[in-house]
Amino acid sequence: MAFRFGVKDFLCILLLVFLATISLLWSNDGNDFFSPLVSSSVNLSPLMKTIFYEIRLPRLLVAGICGASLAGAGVLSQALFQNPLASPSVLGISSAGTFFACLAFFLNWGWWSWLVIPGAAFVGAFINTVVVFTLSRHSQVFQIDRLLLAGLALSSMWGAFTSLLISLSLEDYHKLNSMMHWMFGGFSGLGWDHLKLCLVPILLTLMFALRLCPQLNLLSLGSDVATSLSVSVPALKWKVLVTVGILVAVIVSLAGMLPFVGLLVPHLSRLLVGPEHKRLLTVSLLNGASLTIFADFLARTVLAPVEMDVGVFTALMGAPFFLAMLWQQQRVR
Amino acid sequence: MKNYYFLLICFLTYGLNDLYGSPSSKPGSSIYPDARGQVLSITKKPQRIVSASVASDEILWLILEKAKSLERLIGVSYLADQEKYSHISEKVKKIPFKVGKSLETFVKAQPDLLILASFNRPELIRQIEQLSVPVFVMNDFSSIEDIVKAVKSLASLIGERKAGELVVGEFMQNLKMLEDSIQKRESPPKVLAMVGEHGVIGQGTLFDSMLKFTGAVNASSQLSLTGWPQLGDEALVKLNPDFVVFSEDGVDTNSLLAKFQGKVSTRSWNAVKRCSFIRIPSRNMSAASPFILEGIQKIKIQLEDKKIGRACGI
Repeated sequence: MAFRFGVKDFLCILLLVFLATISLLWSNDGNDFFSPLVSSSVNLSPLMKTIFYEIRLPRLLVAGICGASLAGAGVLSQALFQNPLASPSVLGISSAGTFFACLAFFLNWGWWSWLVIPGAAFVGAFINTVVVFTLSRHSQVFQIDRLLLAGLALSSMWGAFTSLLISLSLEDYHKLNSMMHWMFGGFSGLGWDHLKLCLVPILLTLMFALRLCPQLNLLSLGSDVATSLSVSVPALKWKVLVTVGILVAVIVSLAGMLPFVGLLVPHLSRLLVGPEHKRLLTVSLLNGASLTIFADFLARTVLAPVEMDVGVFTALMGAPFFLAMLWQQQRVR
Repeated sequence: MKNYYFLLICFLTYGLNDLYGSPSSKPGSSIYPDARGQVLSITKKPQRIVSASVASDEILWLILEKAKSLERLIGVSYLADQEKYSHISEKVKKIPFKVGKSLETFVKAQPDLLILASFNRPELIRQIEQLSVPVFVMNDFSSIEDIVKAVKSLASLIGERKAGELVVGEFMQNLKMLEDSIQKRESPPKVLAMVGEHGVIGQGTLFDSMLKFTGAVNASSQLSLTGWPQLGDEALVKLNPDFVVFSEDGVDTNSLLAKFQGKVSTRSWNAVKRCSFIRIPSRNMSAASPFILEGIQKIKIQLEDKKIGRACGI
């Protein structure tokens, strides 16, 4: 089912373009990138060119892609659990990625190569996905309640291991510093190499996710209805789980934990465009990118030149939104 | 020049203290308020002193060593015997009690004076005070002057003012000698101390004070950074230090260099182009006692070492 491009979709694109432009051109240290854009007589210094093309631009793109993917993973998770309160974090994938990244910091492996930390986080996320999938099958049948319980248990276990590593590193400010900032999530230090690394797997996975949308629409009517309409529900759930697993693994391996994006954006987008999955997923991708680009912009500029963690801002924006939603629901009743 | 004024003031206050003393400097009282703003007075000269932070361990060790009564220090922090964090790791091995964060370790030592740090939990301090143990909570250190104050205060508290004055006098003398021996340069080198890949040590820290005594300027001061901030790539690329200071732990200089050469934000730095990395032990980077001299000396020597900066073959 193809969706018609509406005003709301256009507004989402406009918002993304606006936030990306502001984030790209705004500087609160007196060096602005607006002037060279409007006047050909103003040239950027080599240092400013490095900042613009090699630091800010790739960082913005990585932030956008991570936000979009996380929001997409949120839509898929909610479809998988058939629960609007589900988020990719309930599968424990991000907790596993965080633990393995922290383990690499703890063992001082992070200095070997820029690939070590993302690699460790990806391996952790992958292991978690395999374990969750294995535990959620009972008598060859994929069971969603087992999936949820396994995800929660694993998430707690990885969380406990991460706490253990932090306790063992409390006196080592180098390790502790690296671990804490990884846990709070952010895009500092991400460049073109990271973009190249994540672009292909994420694009392929998102394209695959879009192809699952018609079946997810049927699944949202209930497993029995979907089965009667010749949807292989276990196979569909397996595909969704793998898709979410890949998306979250790639994101957590680059940016660490970004709380609330996978929960907040699908909700917000559903309010805007309704529950039809193809449209919901497309709009969520746009809004997810907007949210993380905006959060990254705030993290960069609020206390500049000191940088804050992006996860702080996604949580600060997400939690009040949820409280407002609960408040609104209470008033409607 | 500023440092000379500071040294002069320290010498003057040191001399005046000798002549007149301060109103609250009777044996068994702290001459400066602790981190809670309290001036502690104890009636009896403490004989079972327990310290719970490396800074106070080191300061007490120096004072009691001068006073030839080291047996009064019966407990030190659990990090005091670790070379990575402590300058007295070998010396404190025989001290019977190593105290941690739990109340039990303190109670077992049966102290008659307990020196805690501002990072100890308030409820722990309250519990210990309920056991009628006098507690002095050390202030945070942000300058060399704070170290001098801490030595004087602890010395007065344990009734060893003379020994404290000797420690301070020796410390100031060595500091002055170090400062006098700094090679004259046309412009001071810009030095950046880093914690992890994005953390830097800014102004208003002990490490910033250390750098002043090496004849270098803290590169983070050009962005008016204070404390231990985390910087993004855009801020880092602008700092362009001549030297980078890193702790010796965990990673070798070549790996560190390779990492910095691979990053957009650091590969254009003078320090990275010239491979000018200064490595000092963690204990020197976090020293908050007269042992800070060791770190200052190591940085100074490496700043003046002609070999550093040629490791890249440039």
